[in-house]
Amino acid sequence: MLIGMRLITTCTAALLLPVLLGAQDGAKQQSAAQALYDKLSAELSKQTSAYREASKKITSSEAYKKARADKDREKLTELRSSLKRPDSKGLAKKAMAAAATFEGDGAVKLLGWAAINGGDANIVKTVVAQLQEKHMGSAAMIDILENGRVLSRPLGAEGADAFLSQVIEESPHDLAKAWAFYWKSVALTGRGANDDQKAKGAELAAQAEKLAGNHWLADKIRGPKFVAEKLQIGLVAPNIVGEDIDGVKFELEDYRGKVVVLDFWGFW
Amino acid sequence: MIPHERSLVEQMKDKPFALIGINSDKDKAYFHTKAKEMGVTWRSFWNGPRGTGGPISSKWGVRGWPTIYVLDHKGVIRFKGVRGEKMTEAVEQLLGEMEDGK
Repeated sequence: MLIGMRLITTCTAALLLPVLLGAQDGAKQQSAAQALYDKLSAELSKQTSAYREASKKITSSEAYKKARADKDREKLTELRSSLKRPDSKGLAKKAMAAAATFEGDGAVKLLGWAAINGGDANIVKTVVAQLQEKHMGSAAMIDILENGRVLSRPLGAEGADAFLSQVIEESPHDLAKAWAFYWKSVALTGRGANDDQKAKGAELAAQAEKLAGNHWLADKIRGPKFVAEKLQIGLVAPNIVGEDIDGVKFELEDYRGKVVVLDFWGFW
Repeated sequence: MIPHERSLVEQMKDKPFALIGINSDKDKAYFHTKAKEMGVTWRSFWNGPRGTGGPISSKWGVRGWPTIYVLDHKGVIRFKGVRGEKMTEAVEQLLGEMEDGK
């Protein structure tokens, strides 16, 4: 026990503390799991910002600029060697460890965090195996399925398809099933798909759309049709109602009377 | 792209023109830092925490970033996918039409 305790880093201890203190009933468990989830997200985001900052500092240094001009690969690598990448795998492992102390939706949420953010194929495989074994009915599966793209490579085409089929068979949640249909359709209709696959893919997408109801997934599926029917030159642009970065509501139609460049962009 | 758009906004600042973004940065703090650094002054809808998978771009079927539409003063889509100088030309043409009372 002593040795075990020593191995737990302060960070893990902080993460596990709420669990050790004992959250007994379901609602309490869920909010404790959510708190851990938020903490992990905040930590990853902090590490990511620190990485970006440090990286910027290095790439704007004179030594780096010179090495780049000289195409001195070795020097560039050396200069970047002090950079510490965000430890997403380490955090994912913490999420897995914490998940083991929860049941039901709380566990699924943390497992999902690990699979989505860990950037690690083995973690994804382990998580999916655990989900298949005991969590197929959980509503928290929806968040994981929303990020279904991260699952396909680690699981391979067949593994991913089997998982999605199981969701369609066993989940009581329409939205979970909708996502499963959607990702199946995406997998079928990738580059090089033949007419058969395209037709089957369209069928699966239609099922996904029906099950998605008012959820934005339905909008996503209808996207190409929306472009074809509403976003052609000569048509009045559909309104956009939303919020700006500071949370202030506004609409595209507020700008009638002005020439408008509408630009889907980001810094990333 | 940002330097060009920044200069377009600057050049057209006294004209009936607006550049409206749909911004897909997940992290608002990161957005603010970068916006300051790059001198981004135009207003953007936020596409939400899912970034490029957000609600506005999902509905609009956006597949590539950036995606550009240019609308005239009546809200009609007149150009798609124009970047750099072509964007400036499109805006100038539409402002010209407006002055001619079309």
